[in-house]
Amino acid sequence: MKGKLICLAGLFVWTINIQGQDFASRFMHEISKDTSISCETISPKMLETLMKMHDENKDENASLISKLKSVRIIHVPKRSKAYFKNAEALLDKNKNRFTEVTEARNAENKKIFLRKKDELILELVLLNLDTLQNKLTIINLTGEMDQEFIEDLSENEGI
Amino acid sequence: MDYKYIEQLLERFWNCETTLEEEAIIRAFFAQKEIPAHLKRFKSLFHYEQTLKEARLSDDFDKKVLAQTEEKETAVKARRITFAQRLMPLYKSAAIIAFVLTLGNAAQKSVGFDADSQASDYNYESYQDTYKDPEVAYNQISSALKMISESLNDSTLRDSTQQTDRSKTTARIQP
Repeated sequence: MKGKLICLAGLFVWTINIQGQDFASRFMHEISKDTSISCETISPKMLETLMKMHDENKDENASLISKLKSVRIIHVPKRSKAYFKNAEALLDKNKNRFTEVTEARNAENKKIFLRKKDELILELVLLNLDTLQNKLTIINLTGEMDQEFIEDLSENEGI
Repeated sequence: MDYKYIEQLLERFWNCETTLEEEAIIRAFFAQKEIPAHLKRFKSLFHYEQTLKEARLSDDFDKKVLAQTEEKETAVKARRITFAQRLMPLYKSAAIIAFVLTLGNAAQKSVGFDADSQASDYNYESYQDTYKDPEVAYNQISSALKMISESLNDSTLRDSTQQTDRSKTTARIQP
């Protein structure tokens, strides 16, 4: 009985820890054995620094960056198709957290998932598979994004 | 009967002035059956001393004590305590602390004490910047946003109202 209680307490702590991770962290944890995969991180502190350097009213990017808390970019140089499926499976496993919001016109190589809370988008995940170069790029944004953020992104192709 | 001599002896007894012979006289007097009323209260004292003097160990006292010790010796068995069992109190303490912290955290989030609970959902403290140069970081972010923008424009968003008009480039997310 005591052993079960201890295990339960450990599970609670583990669950809380898992809840505090973004998708990129979970994905990197899953594929930790493959050292060829890199993850670039831009933390909230760096984003704050960038906001001080760039005027939100003059710079189109700055207005988007102002709604972000973190940016993570994962580069997968090898076995990109397999890892694309891994990422998809991980997102599917967390269906209650992430919902897919895109339907590709031409291919299934680009998918966007969102984690929403009420009207706010807390997390955005892009899976971008480049079949020509056999590379996978995963972009993971966290912050307090909204509909305006998505509209600005889709309008600003020339970013 | 005149008990003045006994009373004098008692007075000397309280002052610790009596000899052994005088104390023997006092005990002999209180050993009698008939004692005057004003002296009866002292009988139990001198009678107690007498019975205490007569107290002796029984002949089978040694046997009883030895028998008890022998029984205890056979009842005790050696027990091996593993390393894990030694650390068990530590595990219990850690589990209790983790449980209390978890409950506190859950209570905080459910009651809404943390006003910025959405933003603090992620453990940003553990984030370590890959780039030290802000301009490099800015360029990387720009590239990432461009990629997302291209993806948004290459795909249609899942929205029944948008499917009829695929020429629209402005994306709208279904609530």
